[in-house]
Amino acid sequence: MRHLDPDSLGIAALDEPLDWWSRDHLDACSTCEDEVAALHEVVSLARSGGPGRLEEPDPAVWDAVAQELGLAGTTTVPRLHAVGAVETLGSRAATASDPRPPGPGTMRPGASRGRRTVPAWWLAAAAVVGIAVGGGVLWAVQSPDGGGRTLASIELAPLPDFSGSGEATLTETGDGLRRLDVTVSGAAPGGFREVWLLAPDATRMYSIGILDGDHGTFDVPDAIDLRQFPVVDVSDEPLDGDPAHSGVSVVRGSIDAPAA
Amino acid sequence: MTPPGTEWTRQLDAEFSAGDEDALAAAYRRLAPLVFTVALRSMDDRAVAADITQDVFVRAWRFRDSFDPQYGTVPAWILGISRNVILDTLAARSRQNQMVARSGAIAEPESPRRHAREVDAVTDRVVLDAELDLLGEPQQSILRLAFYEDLTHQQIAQRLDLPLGTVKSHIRRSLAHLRGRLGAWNATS
Repeated sequence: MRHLDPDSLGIAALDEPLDWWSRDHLDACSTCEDEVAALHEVVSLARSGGPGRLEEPDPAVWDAVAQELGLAGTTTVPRLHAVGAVETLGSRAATASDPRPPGPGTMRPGASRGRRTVPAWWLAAAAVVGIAVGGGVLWAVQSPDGGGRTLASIELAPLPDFSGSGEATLTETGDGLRRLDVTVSGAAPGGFREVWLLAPDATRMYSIGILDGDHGTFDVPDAIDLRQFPVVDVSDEPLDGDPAHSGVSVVRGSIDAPAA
Repeated sequence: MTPPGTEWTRQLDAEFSAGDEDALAAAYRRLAPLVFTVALRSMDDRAVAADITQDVFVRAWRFRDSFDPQYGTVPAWILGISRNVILDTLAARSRQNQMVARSGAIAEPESPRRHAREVDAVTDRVVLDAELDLLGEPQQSILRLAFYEDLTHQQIAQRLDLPLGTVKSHIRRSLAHLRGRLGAWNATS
Protein backbone atom coordinates (compact mmCIF):
# COMPACT_ATOMS: atom_id res chain seq x y z
CA MET A 1 0.00 0.00 0.00
CA ARG A 2 1.28 3.43 -0.90
CA HIS A 3 1.71 5.65 2.16
CA LEU A 4 2.00 9.36 2.60
CA ASP A 5 5.22 10.91 1.38
CA PRO A 6 7.29 11.02 4.61
CA ASP A 7 7.83 14.76 4.43
CA SER A 8 4.09 15.34 4.10
CA LEU A 9 3.68 13.84 7.58
CA GLY A 10 5.40 16.88 9.09
CA ILE A 11 3.37 19.27 6.96
CA ALA A 12 0.17 17.55 8.09
CA ALA A 13 1.30 17.72 11.73
CA LEU A 14 1.61 21.49 11.36
CA ASP A 15 -2.05 21.60 10.27
CA GLU A 16 -1.13 22.76 6.82
CA PRO A 17 -3.54 21.83 4.05
CA LEU A 18 -2.72 18.68 2.10
CA ASP A 19 -3.51 17.65 -1.44
CA TRP A 20 -6.67 15.58 -1.90
CA TRP A 21 -4.91 12.23 -2.25
CA SER A 22 -2.98 12.71 1.01
CA ARG A 23 -6.13 13.85 2.79
CA ASP A 24 -8.09 10.82 1.66
CA HIS A 25 -5.22 8.53 2.54
CA LEU A 26 -4.89 9.98 6.05
CA ASP A 27 -8.58 9.34 6.65
CA ALA A 28 -8.15 5.71 5.67
CA CYS A 29 -4.68 4.76 6.94
CA SER A 30 -4.17 4.42 10.68
CA THR A 31 -0.39 4.01 10.33
CA CYS A 32 0.00 7.43 8.76
CA GLU A 33 -2.65 8.92 11.00
CA ASP A 34 -0.81 7.74 14.14
CA GLU A 35 2.46 9.10 12.82
CA VAL A 36 0.92 12.52 12.17
CA ALA A 37 -0.78 12.48 15.60
CA ALA A 38 2.55 11.78 17.32
CA LEU A 39 4.28 14.68 15.56
CA HIS A 40 1.25 16.85 16.17
CA GLU A 41 1.74 16.45 19.92
CA VAL A 42 5.00 18.36 19.63
CA VAL A 43 3.33 21.05 17.54
CA SER A 44 0.44 21.61 19.92
CA LEU A 45 2.78 21.61 22.91
CA ALA A 46 4.91 24.32 21.29
CA ARG A 47 1.91 26.38 20.25
CA SER A 48 0.25 26.09 23.64
CA GLY A 49 2.85 28.32 25.21
CA GLY A 50 4.23 30.62 22.59
CA PRO A 51 7.93 31.27 22.22
CA GLY A 52 9.78 31.06 25.48
CA ARG A 53 13.40 31.29 26.46
CA LEU A 54 15.02 29.61 29.38
CA GLU A 55 16.12 31.88 32.18
CA GLU A 56 19.07 31.35 34.43
CA PRO A 57 19.01 31.64 38.20
CA ASP A 58 21.20 34.16 39.93
CA PRO A 59 24.74 32.85 40.63
CA ALA A 60 23.97 33.22 44.35
CA VAL A 61 21.71 30.17 44.06
CA TRP A 62 24.64 27.88 43.36
CA ASP A 63 26.60 29.45 46.21
CA ALA A 64 23.68 28.70 48.51
CA VAL A 65 23.51 25.09 47.30
CA ALA A 66 27.26 24.60 47.78
CA GLN A 67 27.14 26.16 51.23
CA GLU A 68 24.10 24.22 52.40
CA LEU A 69 25.66 20.96 51.25
CA GLY A 70 29.12 21.89 52.50
CA LEU A 71 30.68 21.00 49.15
CA ALA A 72 34.43 20.62 49.32
CA GLY A 73 36.08 21.81 46.16
CA THR A 74 33.24 23.36 44.24
CA THR A 75 32.82 26.71 45.86
CA THR A 76 33.10 28.52 42.55
CA VAL A 77 29.98 29.03 40.53
CA PRO A 78 29.72 26.45 37.79
CA ARG A 79 29.22 28.33 34.58
CA LEU A 80 25.85 27.57 33.13
CA HIS A 81 26.08 25.84 29.76
CA ALA A 82 29.69 25.14 30.54
CA VAL A 83 29.69 21.73 28.95
CA GLY A 84 30.24 21.27 25.26
CA ALA A 85 32.19 23.01 22.63
CA VAL A 86 31.38 25.88 20.37
CA GLU A 87 30.07 24.71 17.07
CA THR A 88 29.74 26.87 14.05
CA LEU A 89 26.43 26.79 12.31
CA GLY A 90 28.11 24.97 9.45
CA SER A 91 29.25 22.07 11.57
CA ARG A 92 25.76 21.45 12.90
CA ALA A 93 24.21 21.63 9.47
CA ALA A 94 26.75 19.09 8.29
CA THR A 95 25.96 16.60 11.02
CA ALA A 96 22.27 17.06 10.30
CA SER A 97 22.93 15.46 6.93
CA ASP A 98 22.22 18.63 5.05
CA PRO A 99 25.44 20.16 3.91
CA ARG A 100 23.77 23.16 2.35
CA PRO A 101 24.51 26.34 4.30
CA PRO A 102 21.42 28.38 5.14
CA GLY A 103 20.89 30.78 2.34
CA PRO A 104 23.37 32.62 0.23
CA GLY A 105 25.93 34.32 2.29
CA THR A 106 29.44 35.13 3.14
CA MET A 107 30.04 32.12 5.33
CA ARG A 108 33.40 30.75 4.46
CA PRO A 109 33.18 27.31 2.95
CA GLY A 110 35.73 26.04 5.43
CA ALA A 111 33.68 27.13 8.41
CA SER A 112 32.01 23.77 8.66
CA ARG A 113 35.18 22.00 9.65
CA GLY A 114 35.57 23.63 13.04
CA ARG A 115 38.55 21.60 14.20
CA ARG A 116 39.48 23.81 17.09
CA THR A 117 36.99 23.50 19.88
CA VAL A 118 36.63 26.38 22.28
CA PRO A 119 35.01 25.69 25.63
CA ALA A 120 31.57 27.27 25.40
CA TRP A 121 31.73 28.62 28.91
CA TRP A 122 34.61 30.88 28.03
CA LEU A 123 32.67 32.63 25.32
CA ALA A 124 29.46 32.57 27.30
CA ALA A 125 31.10 34.18 30.29
CA ALA A 126 32.64 36.76 28.03
CA ALA A 127 29.28 37.31 26.37
CA VAL A 128 27.65 38.31 29.62
CA VAL A 129 30.40 40.74 30.46
CA GLY A 130 30.58 42.09 26.96
CA ILE A 131 26.90 42.80 26.70
CA ALA A 132 26.77 44.37 30.13
CA VAL A 133 29.60 46.69 29.19
CA GLY A 134 28.45 47.21 25.62
CA GLY A 135 27.36 50.72 24.82
CA GLY A 136 23.90 52.00 24.24
CA VAL A 137 22.08 51.44 21.02
CA LEU A 138 21.71 54.53 18.93
CA TRP A 139 18.88 54.68 16.48
CA ALA A 140 18.65 56.82 13.43
CA VAL A 141 16.35 57.03 10.50
CA GLN A 142 18.89 57.91 7.86
CA SER A 143 22.50 56.92 7.84
CA PRO A 144 24.87 59.87 7.65
CA ASP A 145 26.09 59.10 4.17
CA GLY A 146 22.59 58.56 2.82
CA GLY A 147 23.50 55.03 1.73
CA GLY A 148 20.31 53.36 2.96
CA ARG A 149 18.22 53.23 6.10
CA THR A 150 20.05 52.74 9.39
CA LEU A 151 18.51 49.92 11.41
CA ALA A 152 20.84 50.09 14.37
CA SER A 153 24.09 51.65 15.39
CA ILE A 154 25.97 50.31 18.36
CA GLU A 155 29.22 50.79 20.21
CA LEU A 156 31.51 47.81 20.57
CA ALA A 157 33.05 47.63 24.02
CA PRO A 158 36.32 45.88 24.90
CA LEU A 159 36.26 42.58 26.73
CA PRO A 160 38.20 42.18 29.97
CA ASP A 161 41.95 42.23 29.36
CA PHE A 162 41.52 44.07 26.08
CA SER A 163 41.60 47.72 25.24
CA GLY A 164 40.13 49.31 22.19
CA SER A 165 36.62 49.99 21.06
CA GLY A 166 34.58 50.09 17.94
CA GLU A 167 31.26 50.63 16.38
CA ALA A 168 28.93 48.67 14.19
CA THR A 169 26.16 50.04 12.01
CA LEU A 170 23.45 47.95 10.44
CA THR A 171 21.82 49.45 7.39
CA GLU A 172 19.23 48.33 4.91
CA THR A 173 20.22 49.15 1.39
CA GLY A 174 17.85 50.35 -1.28
CA ASP A 175 17.43 46.82 -2.60
CA GLY A 176 16.48 45.42 0.79
CA LEU A 177 19.83 43.87 1.75
CA ARG A 178 21.19 44.21 5.26
CA ARG A 179 24.74 45.48 5.54
CA LEU A 180 26.92 45.62 8.63
CA ASP A 181 29.66 48.21 8.85
CA VAL A 182 32.27 47.50 11.49
CA THR A 183 35.08 49.79 12.59
CA VAL A 184 37.45 49.03 15.44
CA SER A 185 40.33 50.82 17.08
CA GLY A 186 42.97 49.65 19.51
CA ALA A 187 46.04 47.48 19.49
CA ALA A 188 46.88 45.55 16.37
CA PRO A 189 45.68 41.95 16.50
CA GLY A 190 48.04 39.03 16.92
CA GLY A 191 46.71 37.56 13.69
CA PHE A 192 43.71 39.08 11.93
CA ARG A 193 40.34 40.38 13.07
CA GLU A 194 37.22 38.42 12.25
CA VAL A 195 33.61 39.52 12.68
CA TRP A 196 30.97 37.15 14.06
CA LEU A 197 27.29 37.24 14.90
CA LEU A 198 26.71 35.31 18.12
CA ALA A 199 23.66 34.00 19.89
CA PRO A 200 23.37 35.67 23.32
CA ASP A 201 24.76 32.58 25.06
CA ALA A 202 27.61 32.45 22.54
CA THR A 203 27.09 28.77 21.89
CA ARG A 204 26.12 29.34 18.26
CA MET A 205 27.58 31.80 15.81
CA TYR A 206 28.11 32.86 12.23
CA SER A 207 31.31 34.21 10.80
CA ILE A 208 30.39 37.11 8.56
CA GLY A 209 33.84 38.11 7.41
CA ILE A 210 37.32 39.38 8.01
CA LEU A 211 38.23 42.97 8.79
CA ASP A 212 40.58 44.66 6.43
CA GLY A 213 42.69 46.56 8.97
CA ASP A 214 40.31 48.54 11.12
CA HIS A 215 37.26 48.44 8.94
CA GLY A 216 34.97 46.11 7.07
CA THR A 217 31.56 46.08 5.40
CA PHE A 218 29.64 42.83 5.27
CA ASP A 219 26.36 41.68 3.81
CA VAL A 220 24.20 39.95 6.41
CA PRO A 221 22.39 37.04 4.73
CA ASP A 222 18.62 37.14 5.04
CA ALA A 223 18.67 33.70 6.64
CA ILE A 224 20.40 35.05 9.74
CA ASP A 225 17.80 36.11 12.27
CA LEU A 226 19.39 38.96 14.21
CA ARG A 227 17.00 38.43 17.08
CA GLN A 228 18.68 35.08 17.55
CA PHE A 229 22.21 36.26 16.73
CA PRO A 230 22.29 39.81 18.03
CA VAL A 231 25.85 40.00 19.33
CA VAL A 232 28.47 41.55 17.06
CA ASP A 233 31.79 40.03 18.09
CA VAL A 234 35.25 40.85 16.78
CA SER A 235 37.87 38.20 17.44
CA ASP A 236 41.61 38.02 17.09
CA GLU A 237 42.34 34.97 14.94
CA PRO A 238 45.73 33.35 14.61
CA LEU A 239 47.02 32.69 11.11
CA ASP A 240 46.59 28.95 11.42
CA GLY A 241 43.98 28.28 8.78
CA ASP A 242 41.52 27.02 11.37
CA PRO A 243 38.03 28.33 10.56
CA ALA A 244 36.66 28.06 14.11
CA HIS A 245 36.43 30.99 16.51
CA SER A 246 39.74 31.37 18.32
CA GLY A 247 37.98 32.07 21.62
CA VAL A 248 39.81 35.39 21.77
CA SER A 249 37.14 38.05 21.50
CA VAL A 250 38.35 41.63 21.55
CA VAL A 251 35.26 43.85 21.38
CA ARG A 252 31.55 43.19 21.43
CA GLY A 253 28.17 44.85 21.35
CA SER A 254 24.59 43.71 21.00
CA ILE A 255 22.23 44.80 18.25
CA ASP A 256 18.72 45.35 19.42
CA ALA A 257 17.33 45.46 15.95
CA PRO A 258 14.12 44.21 14.45
CA ALA A 259 14.74 41.32 12.06
CA ALA A 260 14.49 43.16 8.82
CA MET B 1 18.04 4.91 26.04
CA THR B 2 19.95 8.10 25.38
CA PRO B 3 19.74 10.34 28.38
CA PRO B 4 18.17 13.75 27.89
CA GLY B 5 20.33 16.60 26.75
CA THR B 6 23.14 16.22 24.31
CA GLU B 7 25.76 17.02 26.88
CA TRP B 8 24.54 14.67 29.56
CA THR B 9 26.05 11.20 29.62
CA ARG B 10 25.56 7.86 31.30
CA GLN B 11 28.97 8.36 32.82
CA LEU B 12 27.72 11.48 34.63
CA ASP B 13 24.72 9.51 35.93
CA ALA B 14 27.11 7.00 37.46
CA GLU B 15 29.41 9.69 38.89
CA PHE B 16 26.48 11.56 40.40
CA SER B 17 25.21 8.40 42.01
CA ALA B 18 28.69 7.65 43.35
CA GLY B 19 28.85 11.04 45.05
CA ASP B 20 31.19 12.92 42.73
CA GLU B 21 30.65 16.62 43.40
CA ASP B 22 31.74 17.54 39.89
CA ALA B 23 28.75 15.60 38.58
CA LEU B 24 26.49 17.68 40.81
CA ALA B 25 28.05 20.84 39.39
CA ALA B 26 27.53 19.45 35.88
CA ALA B 27 23.90 18.67 36.69
CA TYR B 28 23.44 22.19 38.01
CA ARG B 29 24.98 23.69 34.90
CA ARG B 30 22.80 21.67 32.60
CA LEU B 31 19.55 21.72 34.57
CA ALA B 32 19.41 24.81 36.76
CA PRO B 33 17.98 26.93 33.90
CA LEU B 34 15.24 24.34 33.32
CA VAL B 35 14.34 24.00 37.00
CA PHE B 36 14.45 27.76 37.53
CA THR B 37 12.35 28.49 34.43
CA VAL B 38 9.70 25.90 35.32
CA ALA B 39 9.56 27.30 38.86
CA LEU B 40 9.41 30.87 37.63
CA ARG B 41 6.61 30.17 35.17
CA SER B 42 4.69 28.20 37.81
CA MET B 43 5.13 30.61 40.71
CA ASP B 44 5.56 33.91 38.87
CA ASP B 45 8.03 35.08 41.51
CA ARG B 46 11.80 35.17 40.97
CA ALA B 47 12.73 34.95 44.64
CA VAL B 48 10.49 31.93 45.17
CA ALA B 49 11.82 30.32 41.97
CA ALA B 50 15.40 30.82 43.22
CA ASP B 51 14.51 29.18 46.55
CA ILE B 52 12.90 26.26 44.75
CA THR B 53 15.96 25.82 42.52
CA GLN B 54 18.22 25.74 45.57
CA ASP B 55 15.95 23.28 47.34
CA VAL B 56 15.78 20.96 44.32
CA PHE B 57 19.56 20.62 44.00
CA VAL B 58 20.09 20.27 47.73
CA ARG B 59 17.51 17.47 47.84
CA ALA B 60 18.87 15.83 44.70
CA TRP B 61 22.29 15.58 46.33
CA ARG B 62 21.11 14.56 49.79
CA PHE B 63 18.88 11.83 48.41
CA ARG B 64 21.22 10.65 45.67
CA ASP B 65 21.24 7.19 47.24
CA SER B 66 17.66 6.78 46.07
CA PHE B 67 18.70 7.53 42.49
CA ASP B 68 19.55 4.39 40.55
CA PRO B 69 21.41 5.00 37.28
CA GLN B 70 20.20 1.63 36.07
CA TYR B 71 16.63 2.80 35.93
CA GLY B 72 16.82 6.46 35.12
CA THR B 73 18.84 9.52 34.32
CA VAL B 74 19.79 12.40 36.58
CA PRO B 75 18.06 15.03 34.38
CA ALA B 76 14.71 13.22 34.49
CA TRP B 77 15.15 12.49 38.19
CA ILE B 78 15.88 16.13 39.01
CA LEU B 79 12.85 17.28 37.02
CA GLY B 80 10.80 14.85 39.12
CA ILE B 81 12.13 16.40 42.33
CA SER B 82 11.48 19.82 40.88
CA ARG B 83 7.85 18.88 40.20
CA ASN B 84 7.39 17.78 43.82
CA VAL B 85 8.98 20.88 45.30
CA ILE B 86 6.91 23.19 43.08
CA LEU B 87 3.69 21.34 43.92
CA ASP B 88 4.50 21.56 47.65
CA THR B 89 5.13 25.27 47.32
CA LEU B 90 1.89 25.77 45.39
CA ALA B 91 -0.02 23.76 48.00
CA ALA B 92 1.42 25.88 50.80
CA ARG B 93 0.46 29.01 48.93
CA SER B 94 -3.08 27.65 48.41
CA ARG B 95 -3.47 26.87 52.09
CA GLN B 96 -2.51 30.40 52.87
CA ASN B 97 -4.96 31.71 50.29
CA GLN B 98 -7.70 29.53 51.77
CA MET B 99 -7.12 31.02 55.16
CA VAL B 100 -7.45 34.42 53.59
CA ALA B 101 -10.53 33.14 51.72
CA ARG B 102 -12.21 32.12 54.95
CA SER B 103 -11.67 35.59 56.20
CA GLY B 104 -13.56 36.73 53.13
CA ALA B 105 -10.79 38.14 50.93
CA ILE B 106 -10.31 35.53 48.19
CA ALA B 107 -12.57 32.72 47.01
CA GLU B 108 -11.94 29.39 45.22
CA PRO B 109 -9.28 27.14 46.70
CA GLU B 110 -7.13 25.71 43.90
CA SER B 111 -7.14 21.97 43.42
CA PRO B 112 -3.89 20.01 43.74
CA ARG B 113 -4.76 18.03 40.64
CA ARG B 114 -5.03 21.17 38.61
CA HIS B 115 -1.68 22.30 39.96
CA ALA B 116 -0.09 19.03 38.91
CA ARG B 117 -1.51 19.28 35.40
CA GLU B 118 -0.31 22.84 35.07
CA VAL B 119 3.17 22.14 36.39
CA ASP B 120 3.49 19.15 34.04
CA ALA B 121 2.40 21.26 31.09
CA VAL B 122 4.85 24.01 32.02
CA THR B 123 7.65 21.44 32.42
CA ASP B 124 6.94 19.91 29.01
CA ARG B 125 7.06 23.32 27.38
CA VAL B 126 10.29 24.30 29.12
CA VAL B 127 11.90 21.00 28.10
CA LEU B 128 10.74 21.67 24.55
CA ASP B 129 12.23 25.18 24.70
CA ALA B 130 15.50 23.70 25.92
CA GLU B 131 15.55 21.09 23.17
CA LEU B 132 14.66 23.70 20.55
CA ASP B 133 17.66 25.71 21.71
CA LEU B 134 19.84 22.67 21.12
CA LEU B 135 18.68 22.20 17.53
CA GLY B 136 21.08 23.37 14.90
CA GLU B 137 20.34 25.87 12.21
CA PRO B 138 18.42 26.18 10.01
CA GLN B 139 16.23 23.60 11.78
CA GLN B 140 15.66 25.83 14.78
CA SER B 141 14.63 28.85 12.73
CA ILE B 142 12.36 26.71 10.57
CA LEU B 143 10.48 25.29 13.56
CA ARG B 144 10.22 28.61 15.36
CA LEU B 145 8.67 30.19 12.27
CA ALA B 146 6.26 27.27 11.91
CA PHE B 147 5.33 27.15 15.60
CA TYR B 148 5.23 30.75 16.63
CA GLU B 149 4.73 32.80 13.49
CA ASP B 150 2.37 30.31 11.89
CA LEU B 151 4.12 30.47 8.55
CA THR B 152 3.46 27.73 5.99
CA HIS B 153 6.40 25.72 4.74
CA GLN B 154 6.29 27.70 1.49
CA GLN B 155 6.54 30.99 3.41
CA ILE B 156 9.37 29.59 5.54
CA ALA B 157 11.27 28.47 2.43
CA GLN B 158 10.89 31.94 1.02
CA ARG B 159 11.84 33.72 4.23
CA LEU B 160 14.96 31.62 4.80
CA ASP B 161 15.76 31.26 1.11
CA LEU B 162 15.85 27.47 1.30
CA PRO B 163 14.49 24.92 -1.19
CA LEU B 164 10.96 23.76 -0.42
CA GLY B 165 12.03 20.12 -0.17
CA THR B 166 14.74 20.96 2.35
CA VAL B 167 12.27 22.81 4.55
CA LYS B 168 9.73 19.98 4.40
CA SER B 169 12.34 17.41 5.24
CA HIS B 170 13.74 19.48 8.14
CA ILE B 171 10.23 19.94 9.52
CA ARG B 172 9.50 16.22 9.57
CA ARG B 173 12.91 15.19 10.89
CA SER B 174 13.08 17.88 13.55
CA LEU B 175 9.55 17.15 14.79
CA ALA B 176 10.43 13.47 15.05
CA HIS B 177 13.67 14.34 16.83
CA LEU B 178 11.89 16.59 19.35
CA ARG B 179 9.26 13.96 19.95
CA GLY B 180 12.01 11.48 20.73
CA ARG B 181 13.73 13.94 23.06
CA LEU B 182 10.51 14.67 24.96
CA GLY B 183 9.97 10.93 25.26
CA ALA B 184 13.47 10.47 26.66
CA TRP B 185 12.82 13.09 29.34
CA ASN B 186 9.47 11.63 30.30
CA ALA B 187 10.31 7.95 30.19
CA THR B 188 12.22 7.96 33.44
CA SER B 189 10.74 10.80 35.42
